[in-house]
Amino acid sequence: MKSDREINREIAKLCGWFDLTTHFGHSRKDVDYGWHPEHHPKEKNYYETPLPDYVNDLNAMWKAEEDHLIGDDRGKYINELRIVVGNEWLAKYDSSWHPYRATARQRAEAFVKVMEGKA
Amino acid sequence: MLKRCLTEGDMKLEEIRKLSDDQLKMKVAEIYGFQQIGEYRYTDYGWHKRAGEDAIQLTPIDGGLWLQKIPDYVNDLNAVREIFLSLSGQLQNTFISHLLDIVQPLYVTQHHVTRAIVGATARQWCEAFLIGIEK
Repeated sequence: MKSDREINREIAKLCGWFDLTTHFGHSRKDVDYGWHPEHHPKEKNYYETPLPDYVNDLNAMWKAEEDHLIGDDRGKYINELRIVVGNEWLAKYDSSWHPYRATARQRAEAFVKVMEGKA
Repeated sequence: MLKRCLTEGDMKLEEIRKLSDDQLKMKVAEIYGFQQIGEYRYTDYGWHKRAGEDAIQLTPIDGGLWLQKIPDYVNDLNAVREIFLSLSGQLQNTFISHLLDIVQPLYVTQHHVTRAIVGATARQWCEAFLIGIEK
């Protein structure tokens, strides 16, 4: 099972972040940084920034889905999400299994599967 | 937990859509249990709001009062999900049917419904919370 950091780095790369590095942060933990896809190291006023915390932040995941899941990818993503969240049959009887309750981590796992399938 | 119940509708979707983000946020905060108490100063607790600044209000939790910054519900899916998960199963189903009125899936199949709900914005979640909230 992949760690949160591994998944965050993986999604960041899939979303176009580049030159990923790791710094020892103020919180005394390793923090992953990278260059935002729309920023270029040679441009002034741009710096490498911490990667989005996809596995804990639904807003970051929603943005990744909106930007990178196009056409059929959306359907595939919902199918993967159903598998990640749990049992589709049970979802009919117990809403706790339904994809709309998915956590950011579950959405991230489904997203990685769909994007890797495209590569 | 929600302090008030979702009931069959008083507030119409057209009215809700006219609310600014800030108004919508405050309404969602109110039904989630935030209270406006007095005026915040350095020495006393209460709510405090100035232009361009998030409101700070007292919210009753477990019988106590805590000063708490109101989450940016209209832009924060994490915050609206927290409210959603605090609803009972029946209220969650009611809420989802309201959300469907807002996101309007292309086809009414389980797949398209799920797709529309998963792709809903935080603002749409907030609008769904207000549909059917008793005034």
